[in-house]
Amino acid sequence: MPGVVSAATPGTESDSTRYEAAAQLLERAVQAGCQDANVLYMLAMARKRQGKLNDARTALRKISQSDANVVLQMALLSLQENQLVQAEDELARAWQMDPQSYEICYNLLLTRLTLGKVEDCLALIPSALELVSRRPVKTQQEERRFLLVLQALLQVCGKGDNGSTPVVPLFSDLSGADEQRLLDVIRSLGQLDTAHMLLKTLKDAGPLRTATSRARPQNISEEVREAYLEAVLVKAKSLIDRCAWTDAELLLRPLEREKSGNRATQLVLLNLLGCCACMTQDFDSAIKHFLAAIKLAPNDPRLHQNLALTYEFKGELPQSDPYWNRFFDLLDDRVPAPPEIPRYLNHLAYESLGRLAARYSEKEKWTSALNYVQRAAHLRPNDPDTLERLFQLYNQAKRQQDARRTLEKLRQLRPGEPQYEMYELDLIEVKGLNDIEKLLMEIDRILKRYPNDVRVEERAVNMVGNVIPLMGTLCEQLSDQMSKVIDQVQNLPNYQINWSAVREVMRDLLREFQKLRRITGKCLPLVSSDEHRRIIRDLADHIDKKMERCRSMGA
Amino acid sequence: MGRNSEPIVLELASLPREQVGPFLLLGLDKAADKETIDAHWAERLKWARKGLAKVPLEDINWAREVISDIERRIRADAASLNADTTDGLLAQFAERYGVQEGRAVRTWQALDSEKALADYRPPAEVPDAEAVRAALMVPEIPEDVPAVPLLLEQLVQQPLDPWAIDIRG
Repeated sequence: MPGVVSAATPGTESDSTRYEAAAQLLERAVQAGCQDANVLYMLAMARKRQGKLNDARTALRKISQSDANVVLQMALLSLQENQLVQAEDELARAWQMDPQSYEICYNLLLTRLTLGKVEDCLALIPSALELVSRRPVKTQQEERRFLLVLQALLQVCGKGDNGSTPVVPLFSDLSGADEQRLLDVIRSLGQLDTAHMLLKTLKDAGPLRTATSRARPQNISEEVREAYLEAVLVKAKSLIDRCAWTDAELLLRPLEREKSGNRATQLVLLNLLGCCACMTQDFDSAIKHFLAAIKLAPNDPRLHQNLALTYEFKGELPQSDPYWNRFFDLLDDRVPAPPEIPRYLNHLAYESLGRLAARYSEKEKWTSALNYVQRAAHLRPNDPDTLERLFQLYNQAKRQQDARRTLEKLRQLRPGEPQYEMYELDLIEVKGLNDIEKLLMEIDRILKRYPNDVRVEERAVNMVGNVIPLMGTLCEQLSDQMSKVIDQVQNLPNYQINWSAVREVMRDLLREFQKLRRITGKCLPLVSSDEHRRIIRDLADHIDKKMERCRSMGA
Repeated sequence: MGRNSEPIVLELASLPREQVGPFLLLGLDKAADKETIDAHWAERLKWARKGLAKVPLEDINWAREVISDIERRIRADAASLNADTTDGLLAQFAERYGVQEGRAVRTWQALDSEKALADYRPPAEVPDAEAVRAALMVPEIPEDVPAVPLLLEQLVQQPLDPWAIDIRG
């Protein structure tokens, strides 16, 4: 296991078998009492290569007198576990023990960079530059160049805190390869704050890859600008993940002015800005951003969904319609779906249609609601729940023929379903007392036919509840007629009154009141709430008084 | 007006959790699998306990509950925003910056320098085989057991495996 290598992840299966065999052998030696530092070291390396980091660390800890390499190995384990602070501590110790190791120096440098310790990194770079001659000849030049570029960047970072960022001469003749290496390292830090800081400095520092002018900042390269934009977007997403919408928006807003040439970054930026604005209830801004995003990507269903939802949240349901429709049109295999749910997109379309129908029903926009339920029924033509909603909406929209046809289909799907008999009653158009009487008789019949059926009982109660106001209205109409006749009788001279006609009218009114009184009697046992009972009793008393008045007028 | 040029940020109340939706609450893509959901939920529990996120613990649990139920998940999908585009552009950017399972991790390769121990021999004292052999006192074998010399010879000729010897017992 000689030489310098990149700290790698476990290798192939055959490697793994060999490491396991070696580890077992060495383990037995240690169990037999061997305390040799090299044996323990080899055991640790075998375990490290297997990815058994804890076992590797245990073996290293058994080495009584740790040298720099042992501590370096511990640090590498810490790095693999993403324990950066611990790794830095261990690397610093190893560096003290062996200040001639380029590997220790380089790892310490990058660990400190990851932790955002700019000054500490700067202090290490001269040592790293001195030691770079220990690297293989073919990589020396490249390494030295990278260290110099990094040094230049960190110098700008350090000075940039108190004002404008000065231009370091080295930046003016940075090659494409230099820039790429730097960007790769910054992206690989795994610390969004540090990456953001470094890229911002790099972007603001100015001249890259343009060697003509060394004094003045020139146009920054597109790669750096895009890398910076990406870093901000990723950082904003991390804030959104913590529901820090306003913080994310504040971070993103300056990017609007950047006017990146890259469509992807612009698209993501506009979408994130839209999400943040929507979450902070700034719906107008959200709409503006989503519309701009849709301009860039007119066939992205998720953007259409975002815009449609924002209109909904704003309370402008009709404006959301075209975007919902486009969303449904675009919902195809390109849209990612969870692997464990089959036919997810189909379910999503169905639920979305049902949801919109419900929203429109809440607002009593029956035509729009009906439109969405019809589309849902098209997706699931034999789903009874959908057909029931369709039936109810047809009924609301007074489309009796369609309602009847839907009810027929429901009866085929669920033969003998008691509720559907109640649905049949929904089709009766209740206009007068005879209709109410017929309806109540039917309800009574169905209730007796299906005793103890909760759903039937509930529906019956609802239907009777709907009839009560109608009874009140009819009673008022009869009372008005009676009042008019009485007014005329009281205001006209006796010789002008046609008493036989008055008696005739009163008899007719009495008959109607009697019928209404009979209906209240039938209605009373069908209601369940005290409030309804009270209303019906009051109505009955009122009718009794009117009947008495009719009689007094000669009925 | 003061001299301070810092803008005043008025933070409006955010939407109720049903409108934010479980996906944004857990920082998940709508296509996330169960493993990812659990990982994000666990991470956010830690954040909530440490006060690192603006989401109450109750909402985090609610979000996981909704996503774990297929029907509720689909309904929530229909009613909640997408932080990423259909092509997953933001996820691609995040991956470039080492974000895995919602967490940024270091991806730079550290330089390793292992000791060259391929030819290392532990400084153990191994006795000279000839001296040991010479020191062995061969007992006299009675003439009435003729098979014993043959058996002993076979035993001596068997290959010696020091690891197979149980020295503990």
